[in-house]
Amino acid sequence: MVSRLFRGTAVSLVVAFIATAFAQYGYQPFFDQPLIQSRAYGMELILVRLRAIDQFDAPLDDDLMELIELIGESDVNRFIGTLRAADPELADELLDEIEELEEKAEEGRNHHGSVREVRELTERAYDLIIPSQVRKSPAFLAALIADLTLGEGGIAEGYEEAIGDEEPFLFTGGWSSLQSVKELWSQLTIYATPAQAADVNEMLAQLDDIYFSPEPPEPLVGNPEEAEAPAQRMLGLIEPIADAEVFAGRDMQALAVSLVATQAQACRAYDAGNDEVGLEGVYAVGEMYARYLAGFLGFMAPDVHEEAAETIYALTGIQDEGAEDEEDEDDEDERPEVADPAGACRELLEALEEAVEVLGG
Amino acid sequence: MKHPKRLAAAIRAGSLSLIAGLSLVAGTALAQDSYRLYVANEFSADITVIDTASGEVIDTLSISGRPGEVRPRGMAVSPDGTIVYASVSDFNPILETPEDKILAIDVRTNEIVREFRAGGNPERVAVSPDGTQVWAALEAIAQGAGYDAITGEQLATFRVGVEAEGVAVSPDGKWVYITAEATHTVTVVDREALKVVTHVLVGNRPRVVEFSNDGSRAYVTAEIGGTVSVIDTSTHKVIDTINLGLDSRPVEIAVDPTSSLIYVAGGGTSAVYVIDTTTNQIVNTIKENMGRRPWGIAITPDGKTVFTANGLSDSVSVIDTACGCVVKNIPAGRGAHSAEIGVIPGGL
Repeated sequence: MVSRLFRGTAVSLVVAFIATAFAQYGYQPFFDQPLIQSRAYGMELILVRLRAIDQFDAPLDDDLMELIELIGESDVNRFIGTLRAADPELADELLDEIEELEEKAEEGRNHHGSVREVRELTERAYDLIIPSQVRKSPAFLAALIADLTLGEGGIAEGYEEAIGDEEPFLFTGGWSSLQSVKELWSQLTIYATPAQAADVNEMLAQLDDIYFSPEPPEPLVGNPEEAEAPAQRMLGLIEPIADAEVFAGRDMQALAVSLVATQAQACRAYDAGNDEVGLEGVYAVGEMYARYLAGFLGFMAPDVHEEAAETIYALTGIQDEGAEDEEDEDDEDERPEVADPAGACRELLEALEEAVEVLGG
Repeated sequence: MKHPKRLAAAIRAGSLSLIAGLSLVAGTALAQDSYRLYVANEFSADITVIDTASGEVIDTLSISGRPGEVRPRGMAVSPDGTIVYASVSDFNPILETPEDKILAIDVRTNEIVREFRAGGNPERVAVSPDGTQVWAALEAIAQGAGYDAITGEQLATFRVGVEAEGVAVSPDGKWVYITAEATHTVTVVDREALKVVTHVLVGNRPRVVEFSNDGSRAYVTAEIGGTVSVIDTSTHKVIDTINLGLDSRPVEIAVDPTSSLIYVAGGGTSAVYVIDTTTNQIVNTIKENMGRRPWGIAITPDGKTVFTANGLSDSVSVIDTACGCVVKNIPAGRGAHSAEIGVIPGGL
């Protein structure tokens, strides 16, 4: 195991070479600061879900309840270990308030007060664990915009899943992601030329037309991929503005090498007994794996993919699109309990190392 | 098929000689071929037909009365240039609707003369060099499929990568290459043995594949990667990657039948990249007066004019290849997606 972890460190050096070898832009936030981006994404997701459920009064629909559950079951895991290290009281307070919110929503009580509390605590956590100079940096902002656009339940995927899977409140989640993206974009506009800003604003206007209200339309029909084209184009326009590459999967081998390095770091945390910090790393890896590597590996190296995807799912609940489709067909696929998270972490590391080999490393 | 050299050769060998003979008997001068540009408009569910000599829109072919629900996308032309095939699908890849089909349009009359079912969201099509088969990339079901061009009978299907997109048949008819957006792959099918030979990893989010005039190379655009992968078709391996820039977002390719140049539509930068395939270097980038987000591109068989289908400006840009400049912009339908050139041998 030790040699494997050393290998993880060694490949981080290789990543630095590969990731810069073909770089057109000055920054590669998903390679330069994967854990910072992942933690921030977790907090952004909480803010997105809070905005979504705040649009509705109690009692909340079951689908909206799922958005609340994701806060406690998934989003907070992306950063709680780091928050606890920085401010244990704030970490506990946040977890307590999230629980309170869940309880109120489940019982059909007014949840708006709890929404405000969780939002305020999340913003405090944000200020504490993401350095202010990072939060203002264009690369950081652009990467978050990419996360909220391409990630699960984001602008593009949210619309597709809302229509394709007939889950109307994913529309509300996508709408809320768009509001967050517009806030983040407002901080980036100072770096854009008037022509660049006009192009991005045109794409945002198209997305506004698609997400015309927080409430899902009835019936919810149409082209499930309608949001994808303007969303993708918007990201392509933002890259030169931010001087940052935000499609982390362009060079899949470099990404796989980077994920090995992050995963090795996560496993070291597990081995040191810091499971919460270890899990943060697995979330960072799982997100990028599902978004960018799962498709290719599932097609070309299904055994490697199966090992990686199952472990990611067991540890985090993150699934790639293919696995979700399979689950839709077979609704009984329950997330397994993980008896030995540190061991699972190492299994995932091994699978990722094999992925690097498949990708030509 | 963006491969007018074969088309030009077929015309020279076949129908054109007949027309020439008849013209001489009649004591008239040899009539020249005329070209028609077909532009598939994704959102208005129609195909704009443009006379390439005058630059005038001469027809608009309605594909469906349900724009926004049904769309035409990729097109290909028969070897003699007289039939344009268009892939038509619904917008919702999850649903199997009757709209998933391939249309055959007679270039002379602009009438739809045949149509056949191609279930699974056909995104792009290609025609075999003998004109007997049409191949389609079926986006929703990750398959490549071959059809009899006349009867529409499905001849074979193959599992390819996820979100199949582009398809091309090699000039010698041996290979079918099919791209897949989500797996970043090209699947190589042996057309005679009807089996998958290999899958090739190319740039991120591959879109369109086209073969060189001699068939020794295949070029694959990668929209997110901002590259053109060059595949040696004797080994089916990527031997070079041409970097157009991450913001270029390349889609369709037009292979110049008269030179070593290929023209690549760059949707991200609203530019056309001209690549010399002897060096795999960009020799010109055409941006001035271009319409917005060119995705489709086609070149006339004489290599003199390139047309782009511009999806954000709903227009066609006309490029004079002699000057490498845009000489005209022509309105098209909404969401201009793909472009193809049809030929009327001997003209009208």
